Amino acid sequence: MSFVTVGALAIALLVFIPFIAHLLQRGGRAPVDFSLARLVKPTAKLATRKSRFDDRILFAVRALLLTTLALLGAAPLVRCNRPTLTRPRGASVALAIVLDDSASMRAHVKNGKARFELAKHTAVQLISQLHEGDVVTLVLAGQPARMLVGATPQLGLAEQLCTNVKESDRSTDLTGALDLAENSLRNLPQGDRRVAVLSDLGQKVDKVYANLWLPLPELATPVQDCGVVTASERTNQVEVTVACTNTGSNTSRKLSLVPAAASGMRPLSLPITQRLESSRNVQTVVFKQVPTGLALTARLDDSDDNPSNDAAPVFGGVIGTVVATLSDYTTARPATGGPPLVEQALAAVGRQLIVRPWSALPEDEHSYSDVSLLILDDPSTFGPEVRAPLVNWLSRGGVAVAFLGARSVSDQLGVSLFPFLEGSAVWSPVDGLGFDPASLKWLGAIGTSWSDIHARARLEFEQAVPAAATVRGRWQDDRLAMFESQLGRGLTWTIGLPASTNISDLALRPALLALLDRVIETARHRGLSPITIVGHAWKTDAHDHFKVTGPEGAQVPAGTPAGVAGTETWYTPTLSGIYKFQLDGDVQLRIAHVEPDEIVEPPNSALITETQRSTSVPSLLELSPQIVASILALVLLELLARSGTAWLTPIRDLFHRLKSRRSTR
Amino acid sequence: MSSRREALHDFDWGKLAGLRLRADTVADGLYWGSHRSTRRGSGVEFSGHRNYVPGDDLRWLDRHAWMRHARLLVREFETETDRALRLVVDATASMSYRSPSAPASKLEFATLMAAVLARLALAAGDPVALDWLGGANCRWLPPLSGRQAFERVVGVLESASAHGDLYEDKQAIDRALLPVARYARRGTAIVVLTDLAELPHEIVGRVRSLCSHGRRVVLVRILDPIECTFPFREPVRLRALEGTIDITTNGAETRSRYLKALDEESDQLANLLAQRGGRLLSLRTDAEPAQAVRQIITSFSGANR
Repeated sequence: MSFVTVGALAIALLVFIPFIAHLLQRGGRAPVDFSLARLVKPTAKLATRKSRFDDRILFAVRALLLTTLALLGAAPLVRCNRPTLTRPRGASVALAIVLDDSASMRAHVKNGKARFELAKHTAVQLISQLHEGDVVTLVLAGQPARMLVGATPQLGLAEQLCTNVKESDRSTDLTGALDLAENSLRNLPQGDRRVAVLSDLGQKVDKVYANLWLPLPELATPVQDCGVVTASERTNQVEVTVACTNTGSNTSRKLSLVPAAASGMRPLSLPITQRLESSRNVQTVVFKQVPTGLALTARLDDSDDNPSNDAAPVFGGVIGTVVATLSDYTTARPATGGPPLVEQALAAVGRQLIVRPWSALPEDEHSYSDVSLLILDDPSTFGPEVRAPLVNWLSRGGVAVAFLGARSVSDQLGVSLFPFLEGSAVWSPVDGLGFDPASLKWLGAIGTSWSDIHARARLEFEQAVPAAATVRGRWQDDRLAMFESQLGRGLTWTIGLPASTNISDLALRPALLALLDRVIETARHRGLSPITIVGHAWKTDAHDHFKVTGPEGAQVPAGTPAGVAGTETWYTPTLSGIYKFQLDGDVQLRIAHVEPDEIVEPPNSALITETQRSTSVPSLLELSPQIVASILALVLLELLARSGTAWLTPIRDLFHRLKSRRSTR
Repeated sequence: MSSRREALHDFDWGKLAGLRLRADTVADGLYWGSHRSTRRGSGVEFSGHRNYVPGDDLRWLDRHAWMRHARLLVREFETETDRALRLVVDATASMSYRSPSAPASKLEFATLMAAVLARLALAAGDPVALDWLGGANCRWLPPLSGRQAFERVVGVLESASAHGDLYEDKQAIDRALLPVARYARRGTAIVVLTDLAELPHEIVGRVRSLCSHGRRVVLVRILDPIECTFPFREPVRLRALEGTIDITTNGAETRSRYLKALDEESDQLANLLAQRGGRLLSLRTDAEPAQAVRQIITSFSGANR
């Protein structure tokens, strides 16, 4: 509070002046000269009582008047809890509101209210404070960041859209949202541009943004939260993944399997409760010997700041991205033993991967039904029996990676490496070459680890590369080493070197993990996986009859929010849970879950500090018009009280009546 | 003359107009019906001496008495047609009261009435004497006549100011009225201008004693409009200008009782005076001055000689 504010508020001390005057007047009225006073009978009791009543009204009015004047002097310097859009430049404002609708915003922070409800209410308040000439942008920070309405002067429309925003289980995409908000304000004529961030800041932001404003810093207050991410059942065994914040929220909490609410089952008699490990943020709890065919729910006992994620239905299918591998165990295994290097790399890369080693490529399409990614290590050429289901699977959105070696060279008729190569290739020895690091920049800094793999041979396939292929890597002698090619909705990666350590150190370098991570993510988003993270779309071929039933039983007609573009149909889940897809009569169960990091990641305190330090716009409330109106009303009231008291007669009568009734009792 | 009078009526008499001008204006309208004496005081019987006061006609200074007793004495004569006018003006503190709606204070109104009456009397050749009840800068005037008399009466009236408390100085009543009783001759017209705010019965009692020897006595009670109407509706604290009365009352409830008490007192005092042939006349300070003087003169017709 500044000195000016204190000085203005000190005016309120003047309220003692009418108080003292009132006390003085209570001692006796000012005498009126009257020569014939000896003829007047005194009525002192009644007179004193009435004067006291009148004086109280006048005193109250004058005291209120002075207090209001003091407030007027202090306004708009009075800080208010209500987030207020000030106009230090006095001109129009371009305001971008970033409203976080991610899963972490469901946590409760203040007065039992969820972060999201507070944020939405504040967003509506901010929009209501905009005037004609202002523009507003609404950006939602749930994954993926979306622009709800972009730089519009139609404030009523923006307010209505903001009111209709619903909470979701999406991950946080704060960076994307801030980019969208910043871009939307870039070319606007308003000099005063601000980005109001209504988020718990549950994501690290590397970039520095200007004009950030946190109207509700309390949204970033750390919470204690444990949530069930996924729960799946497979062969009498239920695996439940639980994520907890690192603030001790998982201490002594228990996880239980209970019948689903709508199943009408009796309580299970098995030991179905396990205690969480307090040392891990993300852990998988396994319940064994669970009867099959039951509708179950995994539930955390006790409660925390976010009760919405304390329970999740147990998914009866496979949870995870199925990765099929085809390797020659004789050459692909390391000298130290264990599974082939590709399988070991897959185990190191990601969660929720189900690795399914194949000894040979299947000749039926059904084997590809739940496969999202296929990795081939030095495969032999494909005959027509295996090529057809492979191509069909790829066309529907499959992703395949082929590490080609000496077996890929064949002169037999009817066999080829299509869809990886469209012609013949030559296996030729080289003298300790590596990949050109400049061509592997898309892998980041880790791509340089493939610069010294000391290859002793390689597959030269320049003549067999499809026309639309994208080169992803070259040898140090500038020959083609790796490319990516589209086939239908599918994708193929072709690398001219096998994973075997007998040929090179390719599989021993971290760049392989980076490559696998990338293709796994690509496979997940291609839509063939029955599991996805909330906010990531499921894509499929266009269907005439496409209907989705969400976790809350809502029927989602095709097109909203599912979309159709060309030959593709996609649907983006906004809530975690099990979804039932009906595609031309075929029914599939899929599951969308919350990103574990959405629960684990603490608020970005650095961004809070940086924003509060750089923000020069204080959150002040402009109350002057209301105060001036109050002063005018009080002045009018005082004039009425002083001009005549006939209008006070009913009040006075009521006062006396009440008082006499009280004394009678 | 009439236009001059109308113009003067439009002014605030209590503040703006000079007393002399007002007196002339009012008196000019009252010549009708008043007697006109041709006697000027010469060639009449010697009636006695009195002390010289500045302004007396030096022709009547008794040089023999001065040489014999070293005192300045003036010889007085009595005529058969002597109708001297003795004016007694109350100048106590209560007479200074003037309410916001009144054109003048009670003392200003009283002096105006006195000046007009003096003008009328002098114009008819009758001497005029002036006595004071309380007051400051108030000079007693013996019966005067002649061209200079009016100027002297008006000069004394102008210099007077309200002062004094009858409760603290009850002898002031005797000091004012005993000389009148002593020196007022038969047939003298006596006008007492007072508000009777304090000690009304004492004042009326003394005035009653004047109603003898063929004197005609009129007691004019001068009241402010507020004192006649009591317009207070709210709780009010009233303080008398003389004495220690200080009361708080509710105006709306007290008004009727006050007006009743005022009427009763006026009736009672009027009866007391009437028993001795005197008259009590009540006037408000917002009354039209000429009409007020007319009422005073009319009251003389009912007073005993």
